[in-house]
Amino acid sequence: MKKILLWLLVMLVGISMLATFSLVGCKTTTTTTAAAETTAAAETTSATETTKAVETTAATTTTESKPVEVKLLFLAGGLNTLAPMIEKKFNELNPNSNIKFVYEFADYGTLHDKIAIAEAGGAGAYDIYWTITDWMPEFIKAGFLMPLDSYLEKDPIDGWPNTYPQTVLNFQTVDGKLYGIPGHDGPYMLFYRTDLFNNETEKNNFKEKYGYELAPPETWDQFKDIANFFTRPDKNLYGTSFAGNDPQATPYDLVQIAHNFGAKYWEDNGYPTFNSDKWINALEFLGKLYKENSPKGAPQLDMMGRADMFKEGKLAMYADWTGFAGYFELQELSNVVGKVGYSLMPKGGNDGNRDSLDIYWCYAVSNSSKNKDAAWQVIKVLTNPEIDKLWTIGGMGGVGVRNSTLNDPEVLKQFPFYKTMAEILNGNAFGSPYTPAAAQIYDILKIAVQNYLAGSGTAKEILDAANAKIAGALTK
Amino acid sequence: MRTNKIKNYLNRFVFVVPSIILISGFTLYPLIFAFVNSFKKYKLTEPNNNIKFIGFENYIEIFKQKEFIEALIRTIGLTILLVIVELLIGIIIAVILSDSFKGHGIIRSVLLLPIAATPVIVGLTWKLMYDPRVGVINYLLNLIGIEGPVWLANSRWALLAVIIMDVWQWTPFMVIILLAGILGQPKDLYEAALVDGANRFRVVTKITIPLLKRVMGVAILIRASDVFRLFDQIWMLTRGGPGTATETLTVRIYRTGFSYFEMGEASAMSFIMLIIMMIFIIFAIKKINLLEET
Repeated sequence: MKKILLWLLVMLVGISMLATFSLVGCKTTTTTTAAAETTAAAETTSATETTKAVETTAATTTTESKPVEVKLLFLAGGLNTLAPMIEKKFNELNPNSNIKFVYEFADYGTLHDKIAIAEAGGAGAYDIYWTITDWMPEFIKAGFLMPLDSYLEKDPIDGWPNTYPQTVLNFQTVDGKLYGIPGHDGPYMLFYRTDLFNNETEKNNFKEKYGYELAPPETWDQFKDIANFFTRPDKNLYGTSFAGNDPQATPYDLVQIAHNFGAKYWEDNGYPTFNSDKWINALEFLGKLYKENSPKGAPQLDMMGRADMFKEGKLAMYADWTGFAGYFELQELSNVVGKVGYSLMPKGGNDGNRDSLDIYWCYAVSNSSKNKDAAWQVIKVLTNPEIDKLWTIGGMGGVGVRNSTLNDPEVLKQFPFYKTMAEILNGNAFGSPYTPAAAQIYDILKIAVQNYLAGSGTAKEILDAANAKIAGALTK
Repeated sequence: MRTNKIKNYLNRFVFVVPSIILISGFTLYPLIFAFVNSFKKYKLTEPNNNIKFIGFENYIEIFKQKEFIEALIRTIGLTILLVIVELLIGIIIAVILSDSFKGHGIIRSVLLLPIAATPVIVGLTWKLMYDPRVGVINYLLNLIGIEGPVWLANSRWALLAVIIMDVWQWTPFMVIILLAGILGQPKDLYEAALVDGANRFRVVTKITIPLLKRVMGVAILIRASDVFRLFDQIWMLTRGGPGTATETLTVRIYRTGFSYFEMGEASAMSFIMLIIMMIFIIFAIKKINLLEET
């Protein structure tokens, strides 16, 4: 009897393990067949729920059809405010639609991991991702995103691609296939306080001390002079600030300065050069700016905290994503409305340049989505010219990407920084390391900057170690 | 007679089956899955056909990583330090609270509050409190003329910040366990000691603590295994930074597995952690004679 029960027990355990196995094993099936499924989904409208979505948006479905949930995973922040606008516009354009929007927001530090884990699970947890171009090579290689070409061909986006600047069409295309529609851009830009820079007393004092006119810095040496000049802790004013505790700003600040110093990502043979003299100089220079010209708490600041300091009038100048320019012009939030000037990034050394780091955000469709057609209909609305403009003038950090928005008189009147942004995008921009390991590289660089600020070693020691790790990440 | 026996067996069997299914599905299978993965080159963002068996390579690789060794040492150090500090403070508070005084009930209840807080919320709250611009800690230090440090940007201060946060949240746990132990001790021993003229200090050191040994053992065992797995608060407070100054083993495993997606390496790290914990638990259980009757 005992034996029989034991066998029964073993069988039950086996069955339960098999059941679990098949659940977990879904990942294998989905990922390996993802590409095929994607193409099929894009080309056919015979599937279950997706058919309904298409029929709905074509205004032929009756109200009896089951609602289609389109799940959007977005970056927390300004996009929260965009959500009601999207739905309103969508319903306006698709009055008979039965698409239901389900939003989820994640902070920058977790968004990348969340997308990857969701897609590796392959269960169609989300339909639309808001993803930065830095992550796209990794996600595309892994088969997490679906190519959008067939959709664009059949049911194109308004004005595609001619109404977009070329700069926002490059990094989401791999092997001739397009994986994302741009929705938000904003290269690095220098912000400075015009009330301080145009003040006659300040100008005279500066000229007397440094021998040249006080003006937006054209070189990083001038930046340092001006930062020294305005660093007045007793008056709660600092020359500048960096953000040492942010998954984006901390490494991007270093990359921005290093590039202006003329540093490169790779040697000709593709080996990383993040420990070259130029990178070392950049890290040492950044460390000096933290130590001598930034508020004491800067190594603990995140990107928003730093922007808040500028907005509160505590910084004379600083470099950040263009998107913050709109934030500084909001009457109800900012103390520096109408007092902010915009400039190209400073140049570093003789063989340096004034380029700005430019990465942008795209709407992409999950490869494991069960509602790909419906997702496409939503993306069409998300990238609609009207939404693009609304997103921009909403002032919560949104920077539209369509030429119609960039040249819109209302937008230009409210946000004069678009002129400088156009100048940057027109030949003064550079991108991130374009590799599937980009997210890991930025994490390694963030740790390197923090280690340097914490005094864990010299710039050379820290960057040597970081470069070795980057080399390892590239070969894995 | 025989039918009854079969029925009896079947009855028992039916009651046990759900647990077996759950344990198999949610504990045993993931454990085996992770163990097998620890011998594979397995990156989550690579196509599945790139997964291959590589023997002990992951184990060799992680022991070559300076960060892993540092995280391991830091975790062990942090575990020892936190358990000792929490135990010492716990004993003092428990002894005080074991006396009846006005309001002791309220104090006992208030002491429980930190334990009830979600670790993620605790991490976020302390992060705000340590903020050099708007944090209450530096504000209070300023009031008494001390310029507070930039807590989370300096390796030493950041580690201290983690320790303070954990001591705040988990010392009450020690207090509760130890207090229960003290309240369960025979009163006649105390009365005899007082009659013999022993002072309070001698009573605590000669009676209270020796009688608390087993309870302390259990408290140490629970807290040590908790601290060894410490993740949520650290992740919310420092994300292992600045640099890797507060990176514990679990943070390292998370970063390797879910930020760099090296599932093979992360599984190997998890198994090393599991082995260390198992050795500690077996040793601790034997040492405190937990499974033997008194």
